[in-house]
Amino acid sequence: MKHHLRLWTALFAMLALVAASCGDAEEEAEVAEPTTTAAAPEPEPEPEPEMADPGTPGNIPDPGTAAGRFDGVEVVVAGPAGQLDYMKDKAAEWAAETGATVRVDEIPFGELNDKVLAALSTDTFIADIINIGSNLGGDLMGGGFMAAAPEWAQERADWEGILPIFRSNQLSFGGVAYGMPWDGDVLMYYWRADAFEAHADAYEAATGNALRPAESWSEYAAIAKFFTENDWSGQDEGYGLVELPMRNNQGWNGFMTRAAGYAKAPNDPGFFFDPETMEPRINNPGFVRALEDWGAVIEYGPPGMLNFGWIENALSFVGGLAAQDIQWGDIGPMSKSPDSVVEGAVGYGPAPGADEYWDPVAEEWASGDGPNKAPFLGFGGWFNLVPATSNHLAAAFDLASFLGSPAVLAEAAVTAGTGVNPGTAATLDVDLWVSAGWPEDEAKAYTDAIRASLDHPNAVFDMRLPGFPEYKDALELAVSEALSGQHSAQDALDEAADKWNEITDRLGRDEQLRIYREALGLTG
Amino acid sequence: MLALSIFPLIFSLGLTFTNVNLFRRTPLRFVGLENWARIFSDEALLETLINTVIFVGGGVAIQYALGLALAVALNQGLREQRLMRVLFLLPMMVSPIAVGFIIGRMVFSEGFGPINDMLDALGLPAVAWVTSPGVAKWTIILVDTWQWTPLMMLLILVGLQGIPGEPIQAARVDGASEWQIFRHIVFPLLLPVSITAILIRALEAFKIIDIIRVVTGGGPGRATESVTAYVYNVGAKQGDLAYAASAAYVLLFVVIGVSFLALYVMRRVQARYE
Repeated sequence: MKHHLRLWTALFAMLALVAASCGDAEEEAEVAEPTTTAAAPEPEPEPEPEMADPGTPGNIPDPGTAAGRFDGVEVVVAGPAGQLDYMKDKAAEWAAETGATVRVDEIPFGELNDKVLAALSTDTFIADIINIGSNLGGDLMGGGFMAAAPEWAQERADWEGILPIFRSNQLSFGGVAYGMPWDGDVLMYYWRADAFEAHADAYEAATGNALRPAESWSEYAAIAKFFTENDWSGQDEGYGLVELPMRNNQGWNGFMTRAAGYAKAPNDPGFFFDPETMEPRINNPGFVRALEDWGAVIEYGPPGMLNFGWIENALSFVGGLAAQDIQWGDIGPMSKSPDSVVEGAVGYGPAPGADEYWDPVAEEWASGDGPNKAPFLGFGGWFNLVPATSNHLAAAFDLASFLGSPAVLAEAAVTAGTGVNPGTAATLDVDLWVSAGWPEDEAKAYTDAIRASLDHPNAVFDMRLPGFPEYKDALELAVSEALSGQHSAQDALDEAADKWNEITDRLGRDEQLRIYREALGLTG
Repeated sequence: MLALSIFPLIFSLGLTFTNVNLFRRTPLRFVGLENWARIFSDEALLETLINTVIFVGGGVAIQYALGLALAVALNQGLREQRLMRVLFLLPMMVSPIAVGFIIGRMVFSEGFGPINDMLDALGLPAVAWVTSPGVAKWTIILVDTWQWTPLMMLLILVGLQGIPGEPIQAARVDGASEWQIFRHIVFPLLLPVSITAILIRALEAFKIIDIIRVVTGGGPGRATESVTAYVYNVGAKQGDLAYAASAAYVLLFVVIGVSFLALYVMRRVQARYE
């Protein structure tokens, strides 16, 4: 009854909001028509729903592996539009083997988080499996919406083969495993190795320095300036860099990748907040300088780069327009795609670091032996969650564990457009990439760069706090205002910090602090 | 009417006095005028309201001028009038999301769009269509204008075709120029249709969100965020339905106020002609 009341309240509230705001426009937000139905026998009457207690693993019986074990069951998968084709194919294989049917609902990327949160908050069915970014984990797993992963599903997904940083920071919350693996994400640095080689002498003559892949953001800026000012691409235009600054797109990840080097002190576990007080750090001198320095190099990107999201960034780089790129691991497989003009010409490395970093404890700038690197695991990777309200928990976990199995993930990782980046032992195996047609030295360079980023002791995992969408909105607005010259970096970030404090207070500072500390591995 | 309009309106008004948040499972609580008080210190709402007024004022004015010019041209008895009318109506039939993407994201693309290429060919500097706060507002207006000018044209064309021929012929016989005929006969007779067309378009334009979300995402900064986009962010992204409903009411009050003002001004203008 209580659930019904909440559902009706939310339904009326949404209706009323739409009426009062006169809004009718979100055509984009509509869930696309179901796009895939795997072949299966005629559906039988639906079995009784299985029940799950969120956070209590092991209470979902192991369905075994017999063929036809889910005859008549329909499993609904929801995820981001545009990158589910591979998952659909694999789901169809699973469906053929188990007798189930699988329906895949594609939701526009920009609306995915909102739709999932709104549906779960109102106890409205959205899917049996949700393919979602891990930075929503705080809201989803911490909010008690998800079923804990049974041990049999963990075994089938080769739990021990998943890199520890993803096992603990992506797939689990509060020490309980909920998610099944899909994607491992870290933002990296790419450069045009062919152009670097061809223009090494000219660069040295112009700057007095040897041209090498950037270790620091200052080197990155100098290289970007050189390539923007010199004709190097063999096309009508060529730029020094391409990044991810767009608001309501990937602006959060673009900025944090840069800011981590300036503001993540190796001797302090905190980054977004002070882990003692939950006071935001995003307006400290480290973040401010990161934003100022970012603003100074935007001019070395393609025109209109402030409006660049993931796709514009990736296409610019594999289309040969930019000499350097900050992106996720997708660039590797994309560089091998038929549309790419950079096959075999890409260098791979962890994101550059900052010459100096802000030590928030000593409240002063500090430096180490070299640039302070802090690879940012932005977005944290797509993963699969099963809502506790799913009517087919066993089938959902069976499918999710199949999708997260080493064989499926290995194939997905080397296939462009799947959204799957390496995050497991199987996907970081050089032999896998060689068998996919990569030259061995390039395969090694690519996997080494990812490993170096993921294993880095100063790596920063993306925020996973409840309220993440609000924190992200506030930060992206500030970054956008500063990059477009509407506010100074300090003013914009001060404003964002105030907003973050407001959000934290509203959600409960003590509870947010507890979750943040837990995410950092701090106790007490 | 009761179920679809009145009840949601009253229900949403009730919401504004509560703490309802979609994403927080907190007990429902009466908060009095807390949400309404928050409106007065909400600079973001004010900024988006100003943006919206610019979109409506600028967009509707341009659309009316262009629509009037096109309607007059199409009313000249051209042989291809039918074909032209269909062609002009095409933009209106396309989804705003598609228009936003094709016109806003592709045609106005600063790096790869044909408009900047043409400017370059003419020796003119490229324009930061979507990344300059000032220009981006006008880009939104231009995209909106591309899509909705045909509606204005259509309504005005209907008005033109309803004007009796006798006064115009009489004026011609008396030696009036075409401009004098338009200024003193056609335009005054078109005023009722014009008022209706402007009001319909303005009411629609106040709700703008789709094109903005595709073309600029509300940026750079908040330079192109409309009130509806803001309400959507607060309500759907942050789950704060109570405050979103309050902000939506502000838009409703503004729309009602502007509507009355427009009607009052138009009546005065019409009275002058009569």
